[in-house]
Amino acid sequence: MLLRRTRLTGLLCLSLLVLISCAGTPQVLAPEPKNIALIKEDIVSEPALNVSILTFNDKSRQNVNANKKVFPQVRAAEGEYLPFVLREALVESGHWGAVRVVPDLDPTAEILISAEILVSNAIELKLDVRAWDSTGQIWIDRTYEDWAIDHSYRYDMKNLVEPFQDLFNKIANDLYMVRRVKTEKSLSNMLDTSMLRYAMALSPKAFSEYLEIGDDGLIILAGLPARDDVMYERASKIREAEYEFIDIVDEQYENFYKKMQLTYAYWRQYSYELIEYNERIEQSGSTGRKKRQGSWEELDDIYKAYQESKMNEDELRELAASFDAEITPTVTELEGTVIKLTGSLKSQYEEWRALLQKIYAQERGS
Amino acid sequence: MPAGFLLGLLVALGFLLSACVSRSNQVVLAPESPKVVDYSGSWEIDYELSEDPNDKLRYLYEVTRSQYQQQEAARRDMIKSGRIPSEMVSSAGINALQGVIGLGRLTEKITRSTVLTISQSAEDVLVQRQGDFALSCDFLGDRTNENVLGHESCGWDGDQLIFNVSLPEGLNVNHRLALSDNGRRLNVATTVSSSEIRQIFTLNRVYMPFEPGKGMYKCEYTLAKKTTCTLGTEE
Repeated sequence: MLLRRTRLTGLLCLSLLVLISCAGTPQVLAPEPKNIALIKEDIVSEPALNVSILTFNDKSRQNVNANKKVFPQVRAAEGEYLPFVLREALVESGHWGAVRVVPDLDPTAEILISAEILVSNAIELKLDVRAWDSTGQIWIDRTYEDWAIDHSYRYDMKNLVEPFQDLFNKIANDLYMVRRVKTEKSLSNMLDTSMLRYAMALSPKAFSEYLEIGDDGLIILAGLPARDDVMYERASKIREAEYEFIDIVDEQYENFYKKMQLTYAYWRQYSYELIEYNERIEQSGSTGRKKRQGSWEELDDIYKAYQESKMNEDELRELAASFDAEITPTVTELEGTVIKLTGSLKSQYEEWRALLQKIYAQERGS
Repeated sequence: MPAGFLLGLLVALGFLLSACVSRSNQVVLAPESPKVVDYSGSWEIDYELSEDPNDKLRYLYEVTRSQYQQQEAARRDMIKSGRIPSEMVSSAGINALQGVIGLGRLTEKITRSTVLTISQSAEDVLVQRQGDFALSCDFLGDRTNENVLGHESCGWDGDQLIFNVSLPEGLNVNHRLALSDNGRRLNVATTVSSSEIRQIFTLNRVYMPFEPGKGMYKCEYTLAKKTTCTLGTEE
């Protein structure tokens, strides 16, 4: 990587010289830069709603013709990396309770966010984002798009700047704007509904009477169990155990995010240079370089840029593969018994849930 | 000429004959492969059967020079006979020679990998090349990819695997993988061409299967340690 970086530094310098020598603004076509600041709050708004972000799906893979700029090798890594960038924005905003990245639908969350990657390259990021609360009310259902043009790619690699931070800030702000107009009662309804939905998943018969489906398809809170309802208390305890597990899963995503940050930043930087280079050729018909067309130096330059970028793609693919391979078994304690879960995070999560349901069912039977 | 070289040339020619059913660099994206050949495994270069880039370059250089000399002779005749003015001095020949050298050097660089590790399934294939980037093809998805780097395409041409990339300034790189009938040799024909150069350069590198981990370095990529290699067998 270091070698590759060194070799690329020369290439980048060359590209930069070309760029400087050709007067004018960067050729990458993009809308006007706009910086979107994150709306922050020092104290978490009460009641604090927990947010779970599902790992992102790659819609571009199912719709390849609509988006030719696809790097399948990188997508798998991005699906686990980008949700964490959103998580960071939500945490930093200070409006929420726990914000976690999860591999599967999280029934314990008050707010759930899912997203599909429509376009992701060094220049443009386009996501289809959907957020809904525990009653089924949709908070956000729209496409977000951002261009990296308003952030310099020649940043200090020690202080990694997310080139699409605007997009994540916008999602966080939009989510907050929806929350802001909600009454305290509706927010507290969401908390109760979330808890009851969880309890219902454990024991549909015991808790179904408290929740109804309205004409609009939303879940209505019809009542609450008594404060000292033993089964409800039990469900709450089980839910706490699930929270603990999700926190462990979230930590693994955090580790992956940290490890991928630098490689991903380099990959984006090289890709950005290449896009700009190609667009310059398309627009002007030449690179503006002094090298004779068809010369060894020219062929070598072009191939080297391609090779370096592909090698970075390989590295990202290996990172993604390693993430799956290196997921550590989760060892946790449940009811005095040590539980060890292995496999992918999704399968660990499924296994854990099945275990919790089994424990709950056993206790009810006893 | 050494016997080994001749043998190598013959084998390479054999591969070429089978590989050149379709001589075009354009990838034929057959919707379904009629006969899916399994390229999986570890392959190391067989120098005896592989073409030497320098020999190939020398040969092409001589051919181009000979063509240039013939053109020059013809041009001189035309000047003498007054059919073209004497001040017309052509630099095309010199450029062609330099172009061939450029293509040759680039092809040599592209084909340096001595070890290939191929993993293949019904869905995709990944050709990992030591010291270079991997070639990959998703058989289920769109096998053409117009991205920031250029136009990439891949797919089956009969039972041969093809990877093609068209880069800026008309630079085109094509890899054609063909397996020998007994499956003991893998030929990778790499063709490099440029819209600025009339000649194309093809180099055949032949690989043979080997068992990794036997007295060799065993390398593993992990997030924590990056690539770490250990010497010796897996036992």
